[in-house]
Amino acid sequence: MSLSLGIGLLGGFSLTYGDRAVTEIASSRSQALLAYLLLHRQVAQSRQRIAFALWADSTDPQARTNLRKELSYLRRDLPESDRFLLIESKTLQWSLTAPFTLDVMEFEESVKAAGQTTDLDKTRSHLDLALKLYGGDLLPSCEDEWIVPERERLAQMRVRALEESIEVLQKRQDYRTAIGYAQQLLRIEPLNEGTYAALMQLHGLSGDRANALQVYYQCMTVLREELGVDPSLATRNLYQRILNEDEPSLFKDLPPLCSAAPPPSPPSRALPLSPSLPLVGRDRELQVLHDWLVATPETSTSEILLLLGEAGIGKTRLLEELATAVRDRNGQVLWGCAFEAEMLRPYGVWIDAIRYVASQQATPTLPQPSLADLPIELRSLFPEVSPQPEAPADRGRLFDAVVRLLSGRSEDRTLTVVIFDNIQWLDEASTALLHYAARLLGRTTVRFACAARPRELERDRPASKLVSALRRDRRLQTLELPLLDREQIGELVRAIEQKGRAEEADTSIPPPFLRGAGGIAVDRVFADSGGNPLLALEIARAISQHGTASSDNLEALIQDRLQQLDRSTRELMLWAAALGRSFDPTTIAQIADCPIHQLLLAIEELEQEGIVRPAAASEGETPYDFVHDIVRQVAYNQLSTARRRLVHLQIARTLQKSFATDDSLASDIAYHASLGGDRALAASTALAAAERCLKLFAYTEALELAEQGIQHGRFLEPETRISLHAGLLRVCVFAGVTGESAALLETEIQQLLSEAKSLGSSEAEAIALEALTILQFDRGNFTSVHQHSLQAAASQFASPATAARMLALSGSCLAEIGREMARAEALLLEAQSLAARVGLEMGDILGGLGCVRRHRGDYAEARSHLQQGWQLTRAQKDHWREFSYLSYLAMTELEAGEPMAALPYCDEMLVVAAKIQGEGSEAAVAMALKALARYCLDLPDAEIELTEAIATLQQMDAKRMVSYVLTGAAEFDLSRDRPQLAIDRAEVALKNAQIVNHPSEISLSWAILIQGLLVLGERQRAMAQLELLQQSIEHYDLSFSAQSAIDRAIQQMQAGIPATCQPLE
Amino acid sequence: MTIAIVETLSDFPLNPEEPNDISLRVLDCLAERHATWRYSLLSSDRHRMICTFDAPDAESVRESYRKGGAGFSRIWAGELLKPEGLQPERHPSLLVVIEGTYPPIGEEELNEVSSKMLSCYTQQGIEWIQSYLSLDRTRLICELNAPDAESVREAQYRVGVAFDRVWSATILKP
Repeated sequence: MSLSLGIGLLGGFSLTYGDRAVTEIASSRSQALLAYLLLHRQVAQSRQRIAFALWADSTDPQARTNLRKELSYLRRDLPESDRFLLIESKTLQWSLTAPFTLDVMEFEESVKAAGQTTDLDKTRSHLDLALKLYGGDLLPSCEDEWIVPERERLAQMRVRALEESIEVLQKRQDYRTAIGYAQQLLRIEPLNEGTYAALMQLHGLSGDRANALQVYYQCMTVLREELGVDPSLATRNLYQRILNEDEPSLFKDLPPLCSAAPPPSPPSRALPLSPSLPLVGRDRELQVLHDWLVATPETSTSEILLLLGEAGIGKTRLLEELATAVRDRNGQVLWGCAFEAEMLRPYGVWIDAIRYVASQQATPTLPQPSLADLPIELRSLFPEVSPQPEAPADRGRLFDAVVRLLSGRSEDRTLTVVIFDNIQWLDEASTALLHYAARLLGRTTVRFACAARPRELERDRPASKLVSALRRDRRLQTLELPLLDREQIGELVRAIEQKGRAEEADTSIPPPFLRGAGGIAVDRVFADSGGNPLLALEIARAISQHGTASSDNLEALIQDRLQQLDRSTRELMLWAAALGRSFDPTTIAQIADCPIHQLLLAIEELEQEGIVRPAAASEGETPYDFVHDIVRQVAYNQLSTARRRLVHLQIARTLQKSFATDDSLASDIAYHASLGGDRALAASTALAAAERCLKLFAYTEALELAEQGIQHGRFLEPETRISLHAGLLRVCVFAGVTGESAALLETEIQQLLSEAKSLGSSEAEAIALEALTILQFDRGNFTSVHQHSLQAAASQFASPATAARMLALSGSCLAEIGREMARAEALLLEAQSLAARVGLEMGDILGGLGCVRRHRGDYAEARSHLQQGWQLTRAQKDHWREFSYLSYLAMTELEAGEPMAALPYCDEMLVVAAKIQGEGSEAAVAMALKALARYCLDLPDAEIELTEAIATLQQMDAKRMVSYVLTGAAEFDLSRDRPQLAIDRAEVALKNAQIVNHPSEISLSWAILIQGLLVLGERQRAMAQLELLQQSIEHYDLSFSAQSAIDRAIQQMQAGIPATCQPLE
Repeated sequence: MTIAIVETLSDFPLNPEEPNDISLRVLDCLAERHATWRYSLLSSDRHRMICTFDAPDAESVRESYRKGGAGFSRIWAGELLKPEGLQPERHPSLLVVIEGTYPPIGEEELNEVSSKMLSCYTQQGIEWIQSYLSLDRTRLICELNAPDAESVREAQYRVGVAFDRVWSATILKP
């Protein structure tokens, strides 16, 4: 009787004949030959192909010989081999008609059957069988190439079978078995993020939140270690959801996650925190926010909104309401918060805000930028995007990149609101960038809203200067938040009580602050809180809990509450408080050396007790922050002095481990090392942080860090100190010092040089020499500096002087050619602020600002700047600039309607032009402006002079000046009732202005042309020209004189009367 | 657009292949004014250089040079003149430049002189590549393929056309 052959290839080779195990086929080649025939059983295989597949490294004859030999062994050892093997002279095949079973075949059939039924139980049964049959990889002992694709295919089938099983089990609510399968999946594919998400969800569904959260951390760790990436937004959202939601029922609505389909997107968190109480007593303020938001930028330059109020008054809460309103309008929010501990972290608030917006979920109307897509100039701010980015070439480019990033959304009229909380702690670099961006984006849909404590603003801090400057420019709208009145406090107390009752009903566990509570006396709360909502909240909470409030002091009340926390929770909270800013759980776990599950429990408790809350999300882990900075401060104050030292030291040393990959941590490490008493670490990281600040043009922060580093260095051994000290002094030089400080710095460097020599420290000596060279150059002592040594020295950092020169050049270039005047002004003011650091005066700044003021029609200011620039460049013997500023002064007088005042400048221009080397156009320009001034004064022979001057300019090919002079003359012609001449001149002027693309000259000449046509009664032609003009200038910031001329033309057109001969303005 | 010609004569050897701060500043200013560098011709002794730009006007280039702090002898807007028919390619090892300043040259006069010159050039094995004539028609710069600068001078003398300067040149391009 013929028995059946049972062959197993999954997980290893096995063979049975009836009930008997066949062990004779033991060699790997025999097993491989048998497997080859079985897996290719459908078609006869040529001997040559088999030989080549099994003995790929042998020669053809040798392979054939080997095959013959193995085949003879197989015929000998395989029971009833002639029934199972079909052997021909050129081919071999496994017989399909002989009785046999093959685990591979059964596995495939089970998977297939599972896919063909809709009955969940049958599906489950087929899949169970398939997974049982799959005992491991296909014939693992075989290392031939031919088997690899087949092995991989079967492995993938098994993965799919596992995924399908999980889906079925989830539907059947058999979470335990599903979890087992998901864990198997993770063992197979430890980098499959979808599986982690599935496992998190299964734990969530089975009510095991701790394990769900632990899986997230496992996922995050594996992805970071293996791939250097963070979990995807979908996984992070799932984590957030599990973390935030208490009700397991919420998970039941979610479809299974283990398939290729991404998890459903939870609604995005509208705010960094979700307010748990209604907003009370702020109707007026909300209306102000609304009005501010809807103000159209076309009508006026938008104002920066500044909410002012004492701590706990509700500034952050109002900013959150604002953010919600922005989102409701499909707008975009960038959210950043300044921290007192981070006043030396350059651009800290901007970095957080950009991370925040990048972490938000994209919507069809609002695609969010990814950090990876950031402009190259910003990469150095985000070490996670590129570990060793190239520093931006100058401060202007860095700032412009941020402006481009913000204005990118403005083009499609999307509202973008940048919100900065606690700006009293803003670093100088962030402040400068905020001022720059606000100047440039005033007429776009980008808005800026901030909040600050007024008393802190009174101190000499960067934000104070910003507020003054904005106030001066009339660009600031302040909103002071008053204390709440008795009724409003009553409303707040009632809201607290209602919330407490609602939570009690939902959970059947009384919330901690309402346990045993009766009604809360509003009068008492109002009297004790004085109308401060945060204090009122704490008092109401204390009364609810204890029947009385131990104090009317906010700090004391918070302290009482912290004392009631679980001991381990309190411990972890202290670490978080010492960190001084928002924190992510992984960092705290590392610093406190705490298991992640314990930390998560602690965070959960802190969140429940209203002590921390999820902060503005960033890419990667969700950070947390104290609900209020006062809470952080009270928590921190609980640390004894000695303990604080240890805590900060531990933080510094933990952060130091990540410093190699993230140099942006340097200032944090320096801060904690300083408080932790590790002077060597504090000094060395202060140097690293200061040098990083220099690269980012954050000079104030660099100087402050360098000075701190020097103080710490004084306690170190000379050998350790000397190089650090030299480096820190060099930072001081680059950061820029003036007057007496510069003299003291020079003395200090000289002393250090002597010391370095005596200690034989050539490194310190070289650094000190470099610092000295730069200092002498910046102080104007050029004779002692060789140009080549300067270049060598200046290769590493751009000093404020260099940065200011570059900004001034760009800004003045734009201002002089009348384009992008807002940007020109922003660049020049930034240059001015940097130049002031080193006590430098620059012609380009004065001349450029003069042009900007002239453009705006502020002639008094223009004269003042230009005259200063003229005097400065005359003293510097910079003749071309001297000439230029004289020409701008002459033009200012002409535009102000004072041609007589222009004449002396023109005469002076001719004198200066003679001093300028090279055959330039200066004399021709001077003659032309003089001729124009004389023409406008109706002086004898002026017309002939003007014609000649214009011809000379045309030969010189100075089109902008040709346009200017012709337009000026045409305007005068119009006032003297010579409309045809005015039109002729204006037409030529317009052509020239169009070639050089000078928006204001184009508009001015065009407007004169239109006015001329109206005087001649050619109304139709004038209207057609006006239409064309308006189309071509739609987006330009025109000069005051151009805009006035257009307005006049429109008025005359509307009045329907010919323009009479008007004297020049 | 205008072709702007920048003439530079320096007491010190010029080294335009390695841009310094001044040239970078000039380039920034040119970019703001929508002017672009076409190519430059540098004399073999490195004291003479002629740069050409596409610019809205010559004044834009003057301003950029002045503002960036770069020296120049003269900047002017030029009209490009080319031989009719197939234009010879520049031969890098044979490139010679001839400069001349004249009273304003009329069209006819120019054609007449050119015709004489070209005939003489052909005899000397010299090829005319192209020239720039200033807007006031007083300044002429010609690029030639010639065995050497001296053969160009000889041709000029032979026809009796004065010149300011003849020099062997290297071309620098973006």
